[in-house]
Amino acid sequence: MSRATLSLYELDRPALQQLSADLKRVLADDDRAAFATLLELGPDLAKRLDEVERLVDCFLLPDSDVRVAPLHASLRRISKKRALTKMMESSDAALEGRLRGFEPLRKDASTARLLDQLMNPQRLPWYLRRSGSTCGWIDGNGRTALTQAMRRMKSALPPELVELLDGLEQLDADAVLHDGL
Amino acid sequence: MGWLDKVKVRLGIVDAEDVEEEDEPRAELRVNPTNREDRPPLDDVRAAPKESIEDALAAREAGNLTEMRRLLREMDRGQGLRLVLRAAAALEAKDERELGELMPRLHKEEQLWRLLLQIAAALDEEDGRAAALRARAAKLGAPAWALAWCEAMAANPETRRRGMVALLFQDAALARTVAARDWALTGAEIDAAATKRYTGFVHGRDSIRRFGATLVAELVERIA
Repeated sequence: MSRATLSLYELDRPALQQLSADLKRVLADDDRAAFATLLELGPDLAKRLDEVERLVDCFLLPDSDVRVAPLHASLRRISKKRALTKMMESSDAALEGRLRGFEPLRKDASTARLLDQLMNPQRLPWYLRRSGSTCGWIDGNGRTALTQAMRRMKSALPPELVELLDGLEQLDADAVLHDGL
Repeated sequence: MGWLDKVKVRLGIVDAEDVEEEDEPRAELRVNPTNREDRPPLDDVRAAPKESIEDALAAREAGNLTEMRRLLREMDRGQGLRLVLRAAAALEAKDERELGELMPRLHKEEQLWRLLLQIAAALDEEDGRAAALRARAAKLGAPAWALAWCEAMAANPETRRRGMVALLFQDAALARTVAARDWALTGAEIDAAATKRYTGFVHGRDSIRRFGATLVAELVERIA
């Protein structure tokens, strides 16, 4: 089985916050028509919403549950469409290991903290976390600081970290790292 | 109680009683200098109670209210659920003298919001009392996740749904655990990340329910 590779996204934070607010409202109101519109569901999937007692039930089940997996996938797809732009996909599955264990980079405590934040799923909304996935978020200031720290030691970085640095340098906002979107 | 446990109690993640009960076996594994017989006893240090709330509730369920009150007096550490149940038992027995002794301590209860939410969750009713208890807990600074959780366990279906949505956005692991345990939603799974917090809160709710939530609600109405 091949390991998932990490991808770097530019995050439009206000757009994601708006999506969260929209989603929270339709779930709280149990408004199935608005929910289907929000997630751009096809007629077949929208019809299946009639089978659940409450819309929120769909997201209380694991995303691996076949009954609700398409809805979780739709929500992630809409999240990407509205708020996330892929800037880089790592060509090497070893990137995560490097981020967790490349000592020269982790020697600086503030850089190590930023790297940990970039791989902390709890920093993302619940609907962007997938069980077993590696993901996280840093804001624009954190992204700038991390980019500068990596640039200073670019000559010593292994290729997979150089590839990430190139991706970070293209960003102009918050950064999201994810291996399951 | 270590600093981490104190923080957990202050944040409402666990009950003080639970931490105390957990501390006892760990402490026995260590060399304890206070056990030395050649030293004078320490002032103001009380041994952890041997009785548990479960013993008191069992006595109550067996109809032995005198024994229940004795056990509650024995285990009372001056705060938390044990104090509250002891006071509720005094109220039930119309023992105004004991109640008068306990009320000043109840007024100082640090996490009254937690108790109010546990009573609201234990009431299992659609009347305004549970909602009033939740509103009072909110005024006392109850955290959003605790309020959402309590609403998710309300009797009114719309309150339950809205509470669960709020909880999902506050703490998805806890929402899924509540869905599995309290809603018995088929296919929902308990999330290990939320188990300790869940257990700590539910222990209080279930104890109050077994004791009689109406009586405990009557008690907290006396606490200004």
